[in-house]
This record gives sequence, structure tokens and C-alpha cells, in this order.
Amino acid sequence: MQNPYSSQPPRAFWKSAVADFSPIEMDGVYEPRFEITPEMRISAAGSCFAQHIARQFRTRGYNFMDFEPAPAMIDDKTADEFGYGHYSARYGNIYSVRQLIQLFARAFDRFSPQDSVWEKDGRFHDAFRPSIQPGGFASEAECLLERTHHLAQVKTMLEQTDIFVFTFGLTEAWENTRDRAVLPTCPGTIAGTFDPEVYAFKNFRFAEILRDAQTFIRFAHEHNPEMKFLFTVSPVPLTATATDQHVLPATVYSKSVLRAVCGELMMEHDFVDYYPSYELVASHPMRGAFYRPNMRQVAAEGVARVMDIFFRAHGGGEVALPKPVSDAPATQKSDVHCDEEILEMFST
Amino acid sequence: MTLYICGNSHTRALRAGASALEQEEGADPMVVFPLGTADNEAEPFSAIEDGKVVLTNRRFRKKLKQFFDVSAFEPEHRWGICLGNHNYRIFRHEGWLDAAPSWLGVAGKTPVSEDLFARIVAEDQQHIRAFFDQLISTGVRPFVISAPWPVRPDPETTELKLPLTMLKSIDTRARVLFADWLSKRGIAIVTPPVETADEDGFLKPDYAKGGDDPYHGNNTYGRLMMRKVLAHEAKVAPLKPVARQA
Repeated sequence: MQNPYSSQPPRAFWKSAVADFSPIEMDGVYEPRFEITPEMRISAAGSCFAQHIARQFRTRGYNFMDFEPAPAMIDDKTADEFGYGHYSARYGNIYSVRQLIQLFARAFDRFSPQDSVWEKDGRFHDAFRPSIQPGGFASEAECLLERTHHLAQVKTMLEQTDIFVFTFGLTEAWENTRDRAVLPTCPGTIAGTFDPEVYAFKNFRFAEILRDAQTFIRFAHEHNPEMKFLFTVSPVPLTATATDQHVLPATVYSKSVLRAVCGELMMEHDFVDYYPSYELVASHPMRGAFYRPNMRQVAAEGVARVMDIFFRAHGGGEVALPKPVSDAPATQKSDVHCDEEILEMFST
Repeated sequence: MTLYICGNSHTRALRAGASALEQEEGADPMVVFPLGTADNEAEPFSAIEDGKVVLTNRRFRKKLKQFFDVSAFEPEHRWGICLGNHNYRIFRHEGWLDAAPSWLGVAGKTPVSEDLFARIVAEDQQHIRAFFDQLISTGVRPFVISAPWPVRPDPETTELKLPLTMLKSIDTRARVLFADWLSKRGIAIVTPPVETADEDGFLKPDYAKGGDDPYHGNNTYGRLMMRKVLAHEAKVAPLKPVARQA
């Protein structure tokens, strides 16, 4: 007897697609919706996991764009320390779509937030990328000059990108209640001063994130009608939650909402693709094998696995695995730059 | 205590200046010789062996033995080191075509923040700084003899055409950073005579070697600089004459 499941491929069935395979044998998890050619201009932003994606595009010979490269006088190590080369511009971690929208709004002079420069111990931090300059800038003027340059590059990025890759990171954020500016870190952590009269915790809900994502897509298409979008959800759990929940259910809420938004966007737009990096690392068939012992940071093998599947689906080969870090201590520092990790300092 | 002066190619002018002062003004003899060109500073050139600083760069080591008759830097000698402030590697980098120091406030170029600039300078001077740290840690009390002011680039022959104000500003800031670094270690630096700089801070043509030499001071410069060096030394350490070297 024929029914709709009869014609489904093996990848549609749990037994033949998951149960019969070990996590590293599983195949066909991702089928690209559109082609990504080496000539296409690819830009990336998002939570810290997006740095892996950016790095991999670059390593594998794709046309990964860096609109705000480090000055040629500095070496790679210094460039990395000063926040260059992590993404397609020097914006640091962008954890929420609201933050992304506001970044572009600032670049196009449509939003001038009250938070601007935070002074701490005589040094000056950009409120919207407080850790981009180790120790802060020497003066407010320097910070503002760097920001002007930065936002000009962000504007160019939107106009000169064929595929924009965004990694959804968190639903939790801190916003200035007076102008709704969303900040990448809670004031008073890396820099700034926490004033409960000014700043409030915000845990974005499904409808808000979906609306923000639609707004971003519309805005991007106003300036670049042909732009395609590749969305992913970071498999990196929350370092800490500001809700009254345990951090585990808070993480699951966050990732579930973000995953659902991506699904909704993909179903609505044929120019949106979703890559299941979250599923390939965090879902239970993977048995947590791709995490470091702290079950938060993704091991190099996990990153390589995730990206190998992505690039193989796009017709590329595998690259050599980075040095294994399986014996690394649970508190080992990330090999990417994650602003939210500072929250571990506040753990009691 | 004997005054020994060594360093990069800027030491040549110092040697000529020292010679002139000895012959014409009866200055106490001193030993002044270059060890090699500034290119050698771009790689490690020194190390501590058996509690003394030795030169690991073959050319430097050979010259040290040949002209100073020593294999290591000993605390009983007074060492003037002509290394540092040869900032051409920094300000002639083509990266400045797209970038500018943030303190100049240039729009449309990648700003290089003060901290990032300090890293650039530290990176450029890393082996020189390591050498000075080694000297201090082994009990040698060196002082530094600065390279001359930068020579004004000839617009006809200079390929990298950067604004002079920017170039000079980079050089000035790098000199300040180096002086600060030395000061933190109690190392004195003898800076070029003020009268050898033009109104923009470049070495006056009268004191530059000229011709196809875009870096060095001439003998007149060397004489003025050595006079300043000796005045500095007279304040801090009584010198003992040494037998003139070949």
C-alpha cells in the first residue's frame, strides 16, 4: 500500500538515518538549498561559534570577505587579539538579531544609541563591542574614530555580500530601556556601569526574533536585493542565564526558539538556507562527543566535523583536523573570542 | 671604566665623530665600531651564555671580537649601544598607504590605535629590547645612542609616497615609546642634537650623508652626536682612556 512515507528517502527515517549509524558516520543531514561557489562573496556575523565558520570558509578557499582587515603592519597573533579577522568586519560577537539590526541601523545613520563610549580605569570601550580593543582605547576620540571607520565598513559589507552567514547565539540580552539599544554584554561586566534604572534584562521571544529577522532581511534586500542568507544556530550553551531558571533549561529554551525561527525563515523564503550545526553537535545522537569536557565549548574535532559536512555538501573536500584537545581541562580558554565567557568570573 | 660604543650602521658616523674629537680636541680615546647593518636587528642576535650576553648573530659576533677584543658584554666596561630609533622599517611599511595613526584623526583610512601602534613598535624592536634586557640581567649598565632624526624622503626617488606629517608623526611616537621602554629599565638614551633637525623634525641636509644614502648622518653629525654622548657620560661615569684600536 502506497502512502506519503513510501517514497521518502532513507534519510527521512530515524532507523536508517540515525539509529544504524554512529555519530561520525551519519550522512545526508544537510542538503544545500542553493549553491555556494568559490566566487561568491561571503560575509559572516553572529555569536562566537560564527568565528569557526568564518575561519573555515577562509581556509577552504572560498571568497570570504573581510571588509575591515587588520593593518598590514601587524602580525596575525596581534590582529587576532585586537579583534581583526574574526568575522567580516570588526564588530565582535553579535548574539541577537536585534543587535544585528541595530548594527546596520547605526551604520546607515538610522540609529544613534545613548550608549556610546564606556570609560573604565581611564580607558575607553565601545559599548557595542567592548572587548574589541584589549584594555580599551586610549581616548574617547580614538574610540569614536575607530567606530566611524568600523561602521563605514559594515555599510560596505551589506552592499557587497552575496551570501550572509549569521549564527544565532542567544535569546538573552541586555538593553538600554530608554532607546532599546541591545548591548553585546551586560554593562558592568567587561566595561560600563550597571544601572538598573537604565538597563534591563531581555529574553527575546519567538515572535520578536522572527520579526527582527524579517526586518533584517528586508533591510538587507533594500540595499542588496540578491543577497542570500545562510543561518545556523550555535551549539554553544549559555555561559550563564539571567533568568530565574537553571542554566540548562534556559539554554534549551534559547536554542529551541532560535532553531524554530530559523525553520520559519527557511520555510518562508527560498533565499534562506539553514545549516544544522546545532543538531550536528548538540543533539542527543551525538552523545555530547563533540564538546570539550565542560560540555560547553565545542572541541576542534566537532567544529571540523560540522564544517566537513557543510563543505562536502557543497562539493568540497575535507581539511586536516586541528590538534585534538580531548584531554584539555574543562576550564580551557576558547579558541574563539567569546564575550559572554566573562560571566564565568561572576559565578559563586 | 672604558667606554665602548657599538651598534648598527649609524655607529659609523659616531666613529668618525669620535676620531675627530680625539684628534682635534684631545678627547679620551674610546672604542667605537659598528657591528653590522640594521637588517640584523630583525632577527634574534643575542643570548645569555654562562651568565654573560653574547652575540649569536655571526657577523655581530665576529665584529665584536675583532674590534673590541671581547666575546661577551662584561659589566666592567661602559657600553654605549647605538640601536633603536632606526624607524624606517616601521614608517616605510606599505601598510600605511591604507592606514593612519589614530591620533592624527585621518578619515577614510584604517585607524591604528595608540596601543596597536605600540605593538607594532614593540614587534619591530623585539630583538633589540631582548638584548637590553639581557644586558641588564647580567649586570651590564648600557646606555643607548639614538639613531639620527629620519632623513626627509626625496620625492623623486621615494616609491612609497606617504604624507610627511604622518611619517614624522610615526617616527616621533616610536621614539617616545622606545624612550619610555628604556626609562622603565633605567637605561638612559642620548638623543640626536636638536640643531641637526629641520623645522619639520627631519635631519638637516648639512648633517645627512646624502647621495644615495637615505638613512645616515655624516661625519659632522657624528661629531656633534659624540660630543653629546661624551657630555652625557661625563655626568654619569668617569671614563678611563683605552689604547687606540686599529
